[in-house]
Amino acid sequence: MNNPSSPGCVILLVDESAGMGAVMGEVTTDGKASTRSNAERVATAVNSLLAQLAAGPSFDLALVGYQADALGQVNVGCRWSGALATRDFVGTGELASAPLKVETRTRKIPAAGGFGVAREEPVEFPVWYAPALGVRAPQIAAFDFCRGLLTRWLTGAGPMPGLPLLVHISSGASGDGNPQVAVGKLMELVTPAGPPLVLQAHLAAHAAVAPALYPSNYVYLTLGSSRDLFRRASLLPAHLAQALRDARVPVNAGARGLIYNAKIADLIRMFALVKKHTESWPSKGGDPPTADATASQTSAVSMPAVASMDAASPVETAPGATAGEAVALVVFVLDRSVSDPFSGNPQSTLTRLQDQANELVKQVSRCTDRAIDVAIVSYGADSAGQPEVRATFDGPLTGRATVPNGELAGGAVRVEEFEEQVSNGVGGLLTVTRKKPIYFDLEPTAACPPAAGFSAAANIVSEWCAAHRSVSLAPVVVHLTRGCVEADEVERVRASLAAVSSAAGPPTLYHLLSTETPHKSLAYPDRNDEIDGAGFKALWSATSPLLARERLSADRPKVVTPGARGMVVNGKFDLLLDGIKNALDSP
Amino acid sequence: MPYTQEISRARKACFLFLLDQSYSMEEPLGNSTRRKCDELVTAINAWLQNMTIRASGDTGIKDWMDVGVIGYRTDNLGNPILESALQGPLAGRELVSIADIGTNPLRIDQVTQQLPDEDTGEMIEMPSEMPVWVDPKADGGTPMCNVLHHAYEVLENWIKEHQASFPPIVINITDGESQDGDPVPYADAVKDLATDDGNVLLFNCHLSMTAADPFLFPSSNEILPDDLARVLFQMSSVLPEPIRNRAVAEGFELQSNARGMAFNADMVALIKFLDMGTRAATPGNLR
Repeated sequence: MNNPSSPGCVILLVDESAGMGAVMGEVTTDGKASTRSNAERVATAVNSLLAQLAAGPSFDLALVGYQADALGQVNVGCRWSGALATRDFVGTGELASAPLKVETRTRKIPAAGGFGVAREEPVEFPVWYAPALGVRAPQIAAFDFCRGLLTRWLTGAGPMPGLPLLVHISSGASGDGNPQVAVGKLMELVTPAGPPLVLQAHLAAHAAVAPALYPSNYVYLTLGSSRDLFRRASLLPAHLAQALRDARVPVNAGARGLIYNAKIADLIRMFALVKKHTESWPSKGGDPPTADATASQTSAVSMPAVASMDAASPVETAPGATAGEAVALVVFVLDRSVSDPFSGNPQSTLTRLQDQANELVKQVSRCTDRAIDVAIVSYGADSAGQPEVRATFDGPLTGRATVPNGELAGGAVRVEEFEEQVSNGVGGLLTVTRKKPIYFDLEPTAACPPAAGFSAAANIVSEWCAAHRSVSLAPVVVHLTRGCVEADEVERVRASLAAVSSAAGPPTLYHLLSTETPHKSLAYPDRNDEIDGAGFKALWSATSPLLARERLSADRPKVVTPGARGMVVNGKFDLLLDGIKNALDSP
Repeated sequence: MPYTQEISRARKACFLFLLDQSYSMEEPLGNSTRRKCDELVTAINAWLQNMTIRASGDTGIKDWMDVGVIGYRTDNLGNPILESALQGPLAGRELVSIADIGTNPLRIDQVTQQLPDEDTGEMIEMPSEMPVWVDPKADGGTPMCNVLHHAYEVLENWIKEHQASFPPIVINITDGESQDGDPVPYADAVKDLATDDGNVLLFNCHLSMTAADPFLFPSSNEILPDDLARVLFQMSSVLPEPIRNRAVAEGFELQSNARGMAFNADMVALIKFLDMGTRAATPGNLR
């Protein structure tokens, strides 16, 4: 790195969505699994970093949080408070005199071998950042905001400032569209020292899930969002790669500034890179750089990782089929496409479909008195326009194609909690906390024909049928889509499923549509005359009759007619589970 | 279904490590400043410690597995030296029960570990103890055929007395090619040994000096970079279903015919490999 004549700047960008509420259960200095949320632990790590930066040379620092509420109302902005409340960039030299509050906290010094706590020390702990969580993670809005900050900062920076650095801490997928383009625009900004550095820290929702630290080749990353983040992280420059090697973190040539499924220990080590990157900058306002007083305490020297002690093995379920087996398979096939994936839109069709898909998987997971296997498939287009199909679970169930519903409750990527107001029945409102397990955590993509997704679904169905040769109920495939398909594509979808046959006949195909243009809400239509457009009509024609419609129509004659099909447009598919249960019980 | 036998005192598991102790193990491991032989014994000692902890119960260490660690190198004349790498009280013994291993380390080293502090967001160093059973050694050549033949004899005897057990797992860790001939037929002979629960599994881990990405559990030799890698691929067992399922659950993207092999492994990959390769026959399965 050239010697800058003035300091660069640093932006800490922090996800404040409900996903940050996950409790990963990492072992800490007291020798036990942490019970605190990722959000709380990140805030502690951020405040600790700020205290260290306050003691070094002064440079411009922005602390940006982003969140949106359930309705998509976006809240992105600098999170300085107290005396700094209206500022975007703050000189780190100003921090020491302006914390929000100073708490007395307890440093726990572990006993030898990790058996309990040897000593406790009270420490003064200044707090600048204390977030309250929202619901969604509008990353496009967040990166656009940061690009604006950087652009403005550059107009006031000197002729040769240090290289700007952005560290993004997140818990999962973007909630307002695919942020690839927004991140790309920021990474392409021109500064005198080169394009800004972007480091990505994705936090684990479970400490037991294997992390990927500073990967250099995305081919070896697990299929899924780790590959997306790989494209959104800068190549590590030599001085940061060396700092990691000095800390005994293995770094290959070509490594990216990405930690995926990271623990807080990994994040703290990444934060040491912020200090490393900024320590040689001249101090803002011409002060000589102060001696680095805090270097020893947190320099990340790590012991080689010891192989996981986790002895828990996944629950094995008895394989194999018995006669007339009362087990169902439900495959959810999610269309990720939206008309403009790269523009910020917190309420896209994908948002709605994904919410519904997660809700339906949750319902199946709770139906513990029936054996129902679940598979999840998604399809979209990757950045090169090629079909990108994901046909396995993420998180604790990573790599599994079909999962028995009994294992689903413990297998969510993460569980978000949110508060909902419900009527108390006598004119008042009650606030209840609900848990929302996340299985689908995806970003929108450009359009992709459904064929690729359905060939993956057909593979799963045929493998499952091969292992369950005497089932009483044919597999159910639920296609969740915005419905922008051509009639001939629908025919290919139908044909690829029809080619697979179970002991109980060809698979049942349902459709849950969430439309981009306004369309009348329809539930289980028996005719297509209220359905607009050739594509939607073709989907209806390919849709199977609703399972157990005779029985269901007895209870709900107005909703379910004898010719009802398994299709819902712009509504909730509330009879999925009822139909499957009834069909399982009466083969 | 093979490879499903639960591990118990009556039906012990068996792990046999074959450690390359040739001269080239003096070189640094990729991405590290430490020698390959140092990193290797660190990983093996940590594995032995973990197994001891897992086997420990209220009544002491359960005697549910036999472990052997055989080092291979040559003298100045090129004659193979095959001997147990276990040192201290266990020196010279080839297969040792985990209970004996747990109570007989060579020495205890003091090391520091780092943990995040919950209240202050700092990394805090913790003194901890690390038992050592194996010390590094690096001398001479790589007599891989000889060591595989030796492993065959050791396991043939073990199997006679443990016919119902989960089959032995052999883990060969090397940094180079065999210098006493084509190892594939010798590897095949080892893999042909079997208990009632399946054939002996042979896994191979190649340690790298270059800082390239590791290949873990490849399923085809087409993506492998050179002949050495393809030979190791040919020598390695296909991962049986129970091990593969666990690896997949840990986030590895594995094809159905993935093999128990790591190429260009660095320290992280080596530890992952040891952990995954031995998981199916460790107390996670012990009920």
